[in-house]
Amino acid sequence: MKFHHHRLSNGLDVLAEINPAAYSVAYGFFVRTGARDETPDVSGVSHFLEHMVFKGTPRHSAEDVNRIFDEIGAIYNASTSEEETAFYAATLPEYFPVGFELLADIMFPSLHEEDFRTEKQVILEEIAMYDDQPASFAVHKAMETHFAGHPLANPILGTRESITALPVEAMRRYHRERYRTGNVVLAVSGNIEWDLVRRLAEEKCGHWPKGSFRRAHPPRVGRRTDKRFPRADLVQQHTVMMCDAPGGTDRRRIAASVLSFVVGQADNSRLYWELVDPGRAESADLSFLGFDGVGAFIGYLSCAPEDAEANATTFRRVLKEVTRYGITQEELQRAVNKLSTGIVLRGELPAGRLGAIASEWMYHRRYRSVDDEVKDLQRLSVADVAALLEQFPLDPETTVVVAPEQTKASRGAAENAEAVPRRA
Amino acid sequence: MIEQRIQTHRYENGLVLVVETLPETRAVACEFLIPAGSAFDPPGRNGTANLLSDMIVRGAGAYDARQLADRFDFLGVQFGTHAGTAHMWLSFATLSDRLMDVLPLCADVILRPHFPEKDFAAGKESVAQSLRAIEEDPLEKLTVELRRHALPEPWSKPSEGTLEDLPRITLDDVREHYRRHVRPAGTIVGVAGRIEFERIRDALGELLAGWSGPPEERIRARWDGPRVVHLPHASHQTHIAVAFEAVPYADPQHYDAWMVASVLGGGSSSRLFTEVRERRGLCYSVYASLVCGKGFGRIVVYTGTTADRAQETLDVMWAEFRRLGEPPDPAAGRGVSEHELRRSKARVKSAMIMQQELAGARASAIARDWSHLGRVRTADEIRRAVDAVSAESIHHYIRQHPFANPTVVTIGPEPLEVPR
Repeated sequence: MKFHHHRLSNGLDVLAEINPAAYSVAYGFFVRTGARDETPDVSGVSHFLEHMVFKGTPRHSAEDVNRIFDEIGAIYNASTSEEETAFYAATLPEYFPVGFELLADIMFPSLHEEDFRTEKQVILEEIAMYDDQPASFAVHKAMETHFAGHPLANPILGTRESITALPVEAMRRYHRERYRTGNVVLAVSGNIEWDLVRRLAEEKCGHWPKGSFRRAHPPRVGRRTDKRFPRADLVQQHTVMMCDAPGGTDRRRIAASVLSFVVGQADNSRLYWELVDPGRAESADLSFLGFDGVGAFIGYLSCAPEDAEANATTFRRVLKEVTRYGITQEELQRAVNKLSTGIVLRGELPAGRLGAIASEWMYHRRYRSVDDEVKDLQRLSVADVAALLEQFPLDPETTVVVAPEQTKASRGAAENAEAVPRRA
Repeated sequence: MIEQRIQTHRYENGLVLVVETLPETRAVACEFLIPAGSAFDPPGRNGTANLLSDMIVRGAGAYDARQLADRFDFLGVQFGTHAGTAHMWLSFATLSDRLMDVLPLCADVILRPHFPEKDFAAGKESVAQSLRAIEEDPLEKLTVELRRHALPEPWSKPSEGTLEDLPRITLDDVREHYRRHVRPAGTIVGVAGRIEFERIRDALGELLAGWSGPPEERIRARWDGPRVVHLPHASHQTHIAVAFEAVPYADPQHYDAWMVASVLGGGSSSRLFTEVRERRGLCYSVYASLVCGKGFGRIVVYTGTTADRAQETLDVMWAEFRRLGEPPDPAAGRGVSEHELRRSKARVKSAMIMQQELAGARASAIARDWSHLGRVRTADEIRRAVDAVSAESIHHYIRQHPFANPTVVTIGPEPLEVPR
């Protein structure tokens, strides 16, 4: 495993972790822009643009893009978060030149009006799909509430209204301003020659426009807020609680990850034994969300509506106890061991390394290998977690409840199942 | 060509071990396929297998439930049990140097579960919770209902069980299910990673030496044909699943069926993705895949779309089913073209090579192969079989297995009219 870095003359950072023993090579462009970097009039544009990137360039039609990626058997995708838009592919090493050229080309898409109108429908479908999923609806509402007044409240997909109203020109402008070399990192991982990576990056990205963009970092204004959203299609009640945590670029993020793991990993944690194992709740978990400069702990509880209040009280008691007494050495050791295995296993796949390499560089201008990451975890002490809890007590400020509204439609869909005759 | 090292061993008690050595990984993944899935749930007690997979980890050997979970975590093991229709799965992944510490715990779970009386109500309530969660998630509900209507009985029995049967199941039912079905005959252990075959063979042999049980049960499956079913749900989207009969895994035409599913809805240059999503923007997700069980196969097509566009979406999909079945005429764009077939083959072949990086995927693949074929196919064998598929052989396949009379399950605000 060997790490290389090279900065192109236009400022694009090229990073590579070369592993000659791998079967594949993965490569991706990571753009430091996402929902939090949007103004209300273009809400959802980062994610919509992520879709439009696959809709063709002056050199490749949309069908060419899909066809060529399939021809070389690429596993490829893209994703948008609050603060990053990523485009990546994994192929056999022999197809790297073809795949890389295509991936680099589509980063500057044509953005034709007609494709924009068609893809808008797909985005509206995606919004509808997530809206139908109770857990993602609840988390979305909690983010919106917890970060009210802060750009992290911006919905990644935008809203039905913002997407419908968005003109193509606004997307073109957004792309021109954000897709600039100071804002993009190219990460490569797996079985490939560094010289080839460097040469192709120079050739395919050397002409990309320079420039950068400054992200706003307003403080989050804390206030206790409880909100309730009734829905006709639910059987369970979903409760999301949030409180402050260190940012994802803060060195205390490791303690925050371990703490949330001990308190709320899915199948062996304090919340699990209090609520899930005894069959009181369907899920009860806690995660750490680390963003650029700010963070949050987010707790999620789903259970029968009649048990929700008692379960939420237990949930809060678990948080209070750990805040007061901290975690034990045994809990720390188990969390560190299991999280370390997770890092190593994920790192086995070249594609599993891209995101970590890119964000480490984007926010810290440094490289951390899998072994470095594991060492960071193993250095953590119970005292580090106690110090974290002193600064960031697990005391939910935001509580969002999504609960069933009793209507006919909400009662067990299965009982209403009906057979429909075939059309003649 | 990939150099593969696949070795197998059948123990005296009938247990089969299948191992693929992956020298470049630090990981090891292991799957026990135990023939104790929901297909074997007693009549009126659907959910017994699921409850067994919950109860079997609530204490085993020298450990109570919590000590067991702590022990797995301490070893850094991702461990889980899960009820499927044919099998109950016990699987884990960890670093290869921990394998010998994890296997004894697996032996405890398989041979020495406690089934504590005091935890049974909790186990049952856990299962009930997850069943209620399915009721409000239209996509999960669709998956369960599609299986129920499109697959032969008993493979159609929901592996999760049902809220209706659950209250009737007793701890004795769970113990009986364990006694009858958790047995070496028919159990397959798939292991992949940086491991020595002899070492794991001997260790497992010792750990599971006392394991015995009745011979494997033969199941006679029964299917009374396709159905069209709509489930009302107060959602924005209508979810649509369509299942066509296809040849089973072991059939020589399996590769034709695989390529048909791939051309239809495998990649983003597939017919359905191009026509339904890319050209018309009707959905976010649309795909086709080949699903195989014991003695049956299905080509399953899925999409989800807002209710007022669902009928149009279904009609566009239908037009694609029809077009794929027409006699080949490349000039008119009918039948399967050499180009699209080549893309499907390329995707399959690349995916097979890249799978060598994933111990978990390899452990699953070799165990699945053994379960269907009684042997493991090498990547090279699969590549040759895929290469042998042609536009003609696909057309021949579609003539024998036309896109007609599917099972259609929809969930959403309004039922759809299914074209004939």
